[in-house]
Amino acid sequence: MDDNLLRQFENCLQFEPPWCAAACPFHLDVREFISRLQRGNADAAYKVFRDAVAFPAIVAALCPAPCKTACIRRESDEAIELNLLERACLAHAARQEPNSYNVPQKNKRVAVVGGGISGLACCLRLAAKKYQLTVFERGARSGGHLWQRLAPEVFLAEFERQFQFVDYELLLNKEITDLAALAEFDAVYVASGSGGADFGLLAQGNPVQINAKTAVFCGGSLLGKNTVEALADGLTAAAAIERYLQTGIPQPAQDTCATKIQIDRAKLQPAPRVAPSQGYLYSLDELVKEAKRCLRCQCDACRTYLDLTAYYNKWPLRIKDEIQATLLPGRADLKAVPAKRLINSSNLEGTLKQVCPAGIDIDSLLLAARHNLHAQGKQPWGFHHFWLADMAEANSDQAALARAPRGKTKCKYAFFPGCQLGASDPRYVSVTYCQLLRDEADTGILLCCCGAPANWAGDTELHEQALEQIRRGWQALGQPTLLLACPMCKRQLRQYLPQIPTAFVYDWLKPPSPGQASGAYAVFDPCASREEPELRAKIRELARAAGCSLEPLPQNEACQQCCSWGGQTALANPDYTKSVINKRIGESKLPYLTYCANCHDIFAAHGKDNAHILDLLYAIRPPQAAPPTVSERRANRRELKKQLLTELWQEAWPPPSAEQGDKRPLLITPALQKRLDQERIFEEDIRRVVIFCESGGRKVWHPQGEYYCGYCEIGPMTYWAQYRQSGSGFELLNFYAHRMKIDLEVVWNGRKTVADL
Amino acid sequence: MAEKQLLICDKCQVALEISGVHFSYLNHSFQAQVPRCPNCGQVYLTEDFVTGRMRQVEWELEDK
Repeated sequence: MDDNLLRQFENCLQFEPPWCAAACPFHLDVREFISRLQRGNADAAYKVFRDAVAFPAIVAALCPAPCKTACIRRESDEAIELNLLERACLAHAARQEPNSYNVPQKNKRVAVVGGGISGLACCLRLAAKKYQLTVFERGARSGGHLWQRLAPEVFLAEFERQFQFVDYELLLNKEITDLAALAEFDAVYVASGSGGADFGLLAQGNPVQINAKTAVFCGGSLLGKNTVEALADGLTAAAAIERYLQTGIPQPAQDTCATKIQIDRAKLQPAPRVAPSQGYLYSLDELVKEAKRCLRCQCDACRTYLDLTAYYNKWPLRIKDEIQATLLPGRADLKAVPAKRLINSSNLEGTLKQVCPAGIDIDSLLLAARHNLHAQGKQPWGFHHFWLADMAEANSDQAALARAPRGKTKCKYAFFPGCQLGASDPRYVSVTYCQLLRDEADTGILLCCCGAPANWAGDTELHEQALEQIRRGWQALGQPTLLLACPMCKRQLRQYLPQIPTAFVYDWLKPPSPGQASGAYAVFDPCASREEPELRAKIRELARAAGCSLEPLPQNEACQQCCSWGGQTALANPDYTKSVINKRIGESKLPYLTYCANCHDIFAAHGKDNAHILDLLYAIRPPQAAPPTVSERRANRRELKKQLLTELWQEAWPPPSAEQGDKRPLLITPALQKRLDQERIFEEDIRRVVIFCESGGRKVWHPQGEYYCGYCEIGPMTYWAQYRQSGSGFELLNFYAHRMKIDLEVVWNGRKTVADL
Repeated sequence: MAEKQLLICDKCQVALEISGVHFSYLNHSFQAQVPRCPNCGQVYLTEDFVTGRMRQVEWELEDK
C-alpha cells in the first residue's frame, strides 16, 4: 500500500488542543473539564482540574486566565469564564481530598532548592510518585512570595490538603550556596524565586548535568515567571526530572503553547455570557449554563460530515489504525481484524478530503485497503458478488453495445450513459440518444459499465478488464469524446482512463421550453458532482428553464454526500446503508431533483419522491414512480439494446437462440417479487432453481405443506425455492439464499460421484 | 432442527433423516444436523435455519 496514504494522517488535528488549553500554563484538558461541568458533576471536574494544576485553590484564586484572551468565542460574543468556572467548581465540589496511592518507594533522590510555589509543586508531583524529595528553604517558612499574594489561610490549607498523603523532607533555614552540597542527589530543581541564586546555571542552559549522576533544572520566578506560571513550571520540571530519572538523558522541560486546531466557525452561535448572581461565584445552575456555552473546541469536521465515522463512532485516526491491523498478513485466527466490515462499509465518496482542514483522504486508504484485502484473498466475496454479477451482465453481449451512428464506423462523440441509467428505464437512454442525434448526427453510443463495482470490490484484475472493455469500445469508435450522464462514471474515467476525453451530455441537450415541467424541487447533487461545479450549475439552469422552482438543500450544498450507493455497502453493512439513506432523504421534505440514476432509484425505493433531470426534460417517469426491481433492471438493459439495434440500426436483436430450455412458467406473486428485489435476487435465478430441481428430480416433498423444496448453486450463492405445480407451470411459495456452501453438494446433487472429487 | 417433520426425497422416495452435514465459507467449516436423504444425500434446510443460525455464522466469518 502507498505509504503516503498512511503518512497523511500525521497531519490530523484531532489531538490538537483548543486555543484556551494551548494558552493555559498548565494545558488544562479544558474539553474534559468542561464536559464534566456541563453534566453538573463538580466532583469529577475538580479531579481534572487538580490533576492539571496540583494546587487548585491557589490557581483558581490567582490565575490571570490567559484562556479568556485565546477563547474563540470572542469572535461571536464573549469568552468563556473559565476562571469563574474553576472557582465555582471548587465551591461546589464536595470531594476534594487527594488520593493516596500504595506505590513502592523509589530509590531516586531529588532536591528542590526553594520552598516557594514552584518548588512545592515540583515536590508534590514527584513525591506523590514516591521519589525521595528534600526541599531546601533558606527562610523560616515555605510558600515564597505567596505570602504577598494570597491570604495565608487559603494557601496553607491547600498545602496541607494536597500534601496530606505525601512524604517529603522540608529543611527550613537551610540555604544552599553551592550545588556541590547536592552532589548526592540524582536531580535538583532550582526554584529559588525572583532574584534568587541560579548558581551560574542559567548561562549554561537548562538543564545542566553537574556530575555523572546529577542533572539540575531551573524554573519558576527565578526565570521571571508570574505566580501561576511558576507553579506550572514546577509541574513541567517534575515531568522533565522524571524523564531524566527514567532515561538518564537530561532534556528541557517541554512546554508548547502552539496549536494548529481548526473548527467550523458555523458552530459559533451567539450565546450571552452568564453573570454570577452572587459576587464572583456561580450557582450550580449558572455553572452548568456557562459551561454549556463552551464549544469544547475540537477539529471534528470528519465527525460532522462523514457518515462512516458517525455510524461507527470512531475517529479517522482510529480507523486508520484498525485498517493497518486488519491488513497485516497472517491468519485471522491469530490476529485481530477489526476493520474488515468497516473497510467495506465506506461509500468512498471523498467527503473527508473535502471537509478535513488537513485534507486527509481516508477514502483512498479505504479503497486501497479493499484491493489489499482482495489481493490477500481475505475480501469476503459476499460483500460484493451481487454488483459484480450485475456488472458482468451489463458488460455482456446481452446488454453491452459500441456503435457509431448508422452507416458509419467512427464518430466524433459517443453517448456513454453508464450501466444504471438504462437499467432504471431504457427510455432515459434511448430518448436522450435520439435527441443527441438530432443535434449532433456524428454521435455513437457506448453501453457498458464504468468499472466502479470491480474497483470497489477491490478486484484489481476485474477492474482492469472492465476498463479494457471501455478502452476497446472507445478505440473501435474512433476515440470519440464520451458524453456522460453519470458523475460517478466521470470520476472513474478521469482517474483510470484519463486519455479518454469526456463531457457531460447535459451540455449537449437543448434547453427545454418553459412550462415543460413544474413544481418545486430541492436539487440533490450526487457525491461525484463535488468536482463538477459547472455540472451542478447546468442542472439548475435546465430545471429552471423547464419551469421548476428550486429550493435550497443546505446540507447537500455544503457537502455533496452519498445517497448510499457509492462503495456498494448494502451487502457488507445493510444497517449502515439504511442509516445513510434515511439521513439523505430526511434533509428536505421537498421532492429531490437528481442527475444520478442511483440516487434517483435509491430514493424512490425508500419512498422519497424525486425526479431525474431527464424526467423534467422528456417526461419519462413521474416523481412518485416506483423504481424497477433488480430483475426489471436486468431486463431493461436488454430491452435498451434491443430497442436501439432494432429501431436505429434496423438489426434483428436478440439473434434467434438455438437453446431449447424448459419454458414452463413460474408464477411469482408481487409480494415475493418485492422480497426478491429487497434481497437482490434475480427472478431468473429462482426460476433456474425450480428448473434444476425439476430436471434432475433433486427435490424434497413436504407432505404437510404439499410443496416441493430444492436448491441450486448459482455462482457462489445457494438459492432455495419452495414451489408447487400450477397449471402448466409452477407457483413459487417461498425462497431463501445463503452464502455458505453445502460441502459435497455436487455429489449429493448427482453431478459428481465421490470418486470424481 | 427442533421440529420433526416428515420430508420425502422425491428422487429416492424415502424419508429424510437427521444427519451431520458440513458447510464451508471463507475457508472455514461449520457442521450442523439437518435432514438428509440416507440414499442420495439430498439435503433440506429450513428457512429458519438459513436466515437464523446460518446467517449469523456467515456474518461472524466475514468479520474474521
